[in-house]
Amino acid sequence: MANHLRTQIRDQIKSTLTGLTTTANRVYDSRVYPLASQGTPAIVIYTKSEDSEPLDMGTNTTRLINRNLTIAVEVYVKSTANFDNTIDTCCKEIETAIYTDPTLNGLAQDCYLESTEIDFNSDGDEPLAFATLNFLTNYINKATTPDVAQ
Amino acid sequence: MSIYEFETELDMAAYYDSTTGHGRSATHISANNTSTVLNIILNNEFLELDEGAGVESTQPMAYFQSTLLPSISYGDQLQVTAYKTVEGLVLSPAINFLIRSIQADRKGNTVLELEAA
Repeated sequence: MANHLRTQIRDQIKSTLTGLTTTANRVYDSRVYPLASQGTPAIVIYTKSEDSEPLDMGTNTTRLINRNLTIAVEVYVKSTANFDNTIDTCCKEIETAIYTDPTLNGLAQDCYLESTEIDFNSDGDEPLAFATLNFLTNYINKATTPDVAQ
Repeated sequence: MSIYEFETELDMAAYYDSTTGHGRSATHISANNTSTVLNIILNNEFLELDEGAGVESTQPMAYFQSTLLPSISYGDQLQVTAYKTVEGLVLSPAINFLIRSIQADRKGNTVLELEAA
């Protein structure tokens, strides 16, 4: 049995975002430990919020479940210079990569950027720029097979 | 009966001394390239920036006697010499900073918040 579709989608996003020009291979999923001081620009991917509803009425086991998953792509840039421009460059590279394949290799119906939040922190020896890109991802599965995309 | 004892200028100077005290030699360079050599105490403690997963950092702060540097501005440079053992082993290399915040304690000492240059 394959992994839950949510896992497959997260893995697909990580694969898509690995190797971008600015963030290179500094891409992590569901990271819970802090990044190293010299470990940015970096991307961390989370899947923390999802809404779902049945597309068919009834209790049959083959009914379809429509799911809207929010994928949070966090970007970190710790630098004394051009941190604001670098964070925008990272956003550009991420959006370009995702929109090249909005169905995420057939796992989803669609994936699009829903919102972007950018923040700055002046504490520490270098300023930190931090952005969160929320991608809304719609996917469908049969109720009894949450590991197979429909 | 209590006896009040106050720290004198000499006490403070000994505290900042780079040989027998806790100080390190540093050079302040102003925007018009005027340089002043003084002794400072450099704290550079670990700090975790709490955005998202967090990012490891440090918070460099320099302490010095306010009378040694009466004119100081945001953006000035502070070049700190290496910190060595008596045998000459470098514990912390020389490092340059930019001054980001000036906090006078109004008791004779000033604290500078620093950023890596």
